[in-house]
Amino acid sequence: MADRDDRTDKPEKIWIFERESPRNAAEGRSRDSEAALGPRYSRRDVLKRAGAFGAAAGLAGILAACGGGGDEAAAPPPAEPAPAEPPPAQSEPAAEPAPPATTGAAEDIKRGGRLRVGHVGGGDAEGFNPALGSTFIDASRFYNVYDPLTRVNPDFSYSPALALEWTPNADSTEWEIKLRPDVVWHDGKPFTADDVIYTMNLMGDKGHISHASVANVRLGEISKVDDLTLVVPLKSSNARLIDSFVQQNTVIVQDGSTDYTNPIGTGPFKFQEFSVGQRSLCVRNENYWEEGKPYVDEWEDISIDDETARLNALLAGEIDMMSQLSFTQARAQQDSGEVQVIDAPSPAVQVILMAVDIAPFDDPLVRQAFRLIPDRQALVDGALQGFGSVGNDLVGAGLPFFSDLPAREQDLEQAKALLAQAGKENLEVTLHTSDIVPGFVEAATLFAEMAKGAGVTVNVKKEAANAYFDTNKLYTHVDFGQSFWTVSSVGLWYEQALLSDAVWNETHWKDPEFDALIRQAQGAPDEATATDLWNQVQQIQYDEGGYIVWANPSIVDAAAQYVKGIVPSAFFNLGGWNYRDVWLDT
Amino acid sequence: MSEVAHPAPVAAPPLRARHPVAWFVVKRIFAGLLTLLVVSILVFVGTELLGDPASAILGRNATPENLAEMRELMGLDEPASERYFDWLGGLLTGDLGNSAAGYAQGGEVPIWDDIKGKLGNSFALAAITALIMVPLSLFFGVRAALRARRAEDHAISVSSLAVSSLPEFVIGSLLILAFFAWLDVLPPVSLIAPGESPFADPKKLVLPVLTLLGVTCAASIRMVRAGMIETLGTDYVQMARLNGFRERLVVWRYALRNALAPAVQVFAQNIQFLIGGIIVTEYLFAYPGIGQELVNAVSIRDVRVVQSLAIVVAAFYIVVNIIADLLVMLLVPKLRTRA
Repeated sequence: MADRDDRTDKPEKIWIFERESPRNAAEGRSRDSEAALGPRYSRRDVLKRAGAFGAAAGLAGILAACGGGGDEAAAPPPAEPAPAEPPPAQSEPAAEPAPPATTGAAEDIKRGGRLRVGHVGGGDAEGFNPALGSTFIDASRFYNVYDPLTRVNPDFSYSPALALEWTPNADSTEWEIKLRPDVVWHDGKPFTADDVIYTMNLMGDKGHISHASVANVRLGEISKVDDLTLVVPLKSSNARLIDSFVQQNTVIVQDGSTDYTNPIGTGPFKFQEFSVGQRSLCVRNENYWEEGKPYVDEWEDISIDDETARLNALLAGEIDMMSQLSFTQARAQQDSGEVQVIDAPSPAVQVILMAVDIAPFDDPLVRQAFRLIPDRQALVDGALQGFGSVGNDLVGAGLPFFSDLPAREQDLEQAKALLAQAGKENLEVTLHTSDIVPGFVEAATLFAEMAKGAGVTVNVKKEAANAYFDTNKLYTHVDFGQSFWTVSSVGLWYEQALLSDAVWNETHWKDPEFDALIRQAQGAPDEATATDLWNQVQQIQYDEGGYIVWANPSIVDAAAQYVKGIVPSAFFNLGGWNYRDVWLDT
Repeated sequence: MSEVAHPAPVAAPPLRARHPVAWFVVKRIFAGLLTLLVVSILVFVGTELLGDPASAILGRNATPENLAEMRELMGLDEPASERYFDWLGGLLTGDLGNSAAGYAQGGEVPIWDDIKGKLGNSFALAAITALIMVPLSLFFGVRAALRARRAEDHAISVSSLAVSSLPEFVIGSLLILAFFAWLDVLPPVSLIAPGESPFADPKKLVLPVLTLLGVTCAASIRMVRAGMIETLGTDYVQMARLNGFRERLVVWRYALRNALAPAVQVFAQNIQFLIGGIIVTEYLFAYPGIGQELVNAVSIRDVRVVQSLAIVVAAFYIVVNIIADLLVMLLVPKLRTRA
């Protein structure tokens, strides 16, 4: 019988290694029995195949992630709210912040718990350095660990935060700012004017995102009158200095601070831990200057880039609130009622832009024709699911000095006539879009459809999300594209978008007379003159500008039903990133 | 016919002939270290081409003074060769350096602290997936091979192919739909807090692991199947059967060992994919792993983090390769004397 010791009964061949071994050839093994075994793989083949499989899977993964992950990973850059007009120039902001307007009297409010908020992350760029962060998650962190000088309420009115009074001199070239007393930093030191002066000097650095806020300030000559008062001299008159100090990057940091890996602020929450790109955890500031607030014990900001994953996390109870809910999901969630959809009309705009120095858009007739192409309500319904209002090609709806000129209706015949007049019938153009902002691609596709009726062929080209708002790549370099702005001041927006040397001059509008008009309007001594000047500015843009402002999209977020105290704010997401007034009814 | 000259007998076989397996391991480790050295050079050169990290961190409007200061902090003002040896030295002593993002925040954040949690998470996920994938693939592969070209074989082949031909995020989304939206038994996201062990809440791992199994199993099953079919057709298997060995013995003890050699390579490939290649799954489930970390680091051009992660992943690949080859060697005793 055969030997039962199988261990010595080795097989003749291992087909993987046979072919490669030179000893086989040397020892002259016959190939016959090898042929009988059928097709043979060499290790090379296996690795090639498996490698291709693995590489393809990995590559597909990375491509999908980059394409999808780029979405919202860079926030729309123009989040430069300079604040809206205060009531008359000389006033100080109104009374103390009002208690939340929503549910229940003060006695119903339950204290305690951990508020977990999900946002699109900023990857490794996340941090607590106000000089650098421009995304939504940065805004969320800055506004709650630090305080600005002035806060913007949901209706765009102001409340004093760290600065109580703003008093100008006769011609508004010097402002005296009185600060709030009895404010204490998280490390126990008292808040003084030195901190404000230090912060302003930091903002003077050209690399600081908000250096425009102090561009008009004579930084070297800011003087401290006493611990709670400082005098800020300006280079030229500005009746609205307060506007420059509400934005997220203008929050006040402690005098001498350079290391933001352990940030010290005056805000409602104290920093505890941070894992960059993942989550930050902060605890209630027991010594906050707003009595009794915040209500929750802890607050966590969690980075979840994918919108569906973020919504799933909310539905599953892993987070309590999320910022930036897409319009389609908002519609669906409103219908289902599982979570509360926070819908805030806002002056934010979605635009289609035309570079006025590149053909065919250098012809004002062409620009006017294009402004007649869209059925704006259809765009709002189609691209924004109805979450927004129709735009009139001007920016700043609802804000002071906004010109409420009528929104153009769709008029394809007139558009065709104008194009014929310009000698540009049967125009063919490429509209560069991206899915970085919800609604962009849908709007572009709808616009292309509508343009056919005017004889214009629009080729919609989808660009990479992380290149779209990158000034090194596509941003401000396309001739026909889209953009998104959050706005809190007409004046500041014009400075950022339409001055000849504006950093974000998307439409390449360069007109020195226009610049002069804007500067005049900014420095106008009284409201009537200012209104008149701004009307002139806006009329020019209305007639000849490169923008098709087709909508004011609402700001849409979501929260669990047990989260109370959120007031939808026209200024920014999640009630203006207000977590002080939030409480958990669990 | 000419006589084959036999070599004169030697006194005793050299050390390496007496311990072929150990010699193999030693050789491969040296080769692996050499490979790692080459990889480190390639990684270093490659990340140099990423562009200036200082301006990526500080933004386009940063002043030249700030940029110069940041470059000094990050050590970028030294010449490339010096930086390379500094970095290499740091690697060998376990000091990966500080991250650029940390410098931007004004502090020093050691990279190891940053990535160790995410590395651990990724390894945990890969380990669990691998531990399930191997027996699963073996079981189904062998079953399919035993019933080759019959109904069960077709069923297994078709279903595994169907699943693996779906993109990762489709598999994941379907699983979320089934287990969260419909059945509500599993969480749809796998948020693991920094510092928390990934095993703290095992429910969070189920869906990502199932997704990864869906992606990797098909190739493994098919490779095991192919190998088994080959082996079951060989002479010695026929011989064993003819000699009356029990079928179970023939299949699981004799045929499988030889069929496994190529399958081990596919398992190795899959395991290498599971570290660093699963970014889509990480993104879908918001799982904090090193795939996402690598993409984040590249997008902000945090050169040190990219270099560190690349070396870690490369080292892992090499280790897996060595183990795979070792396993094949152990499975196939003949190789011990020949390799």
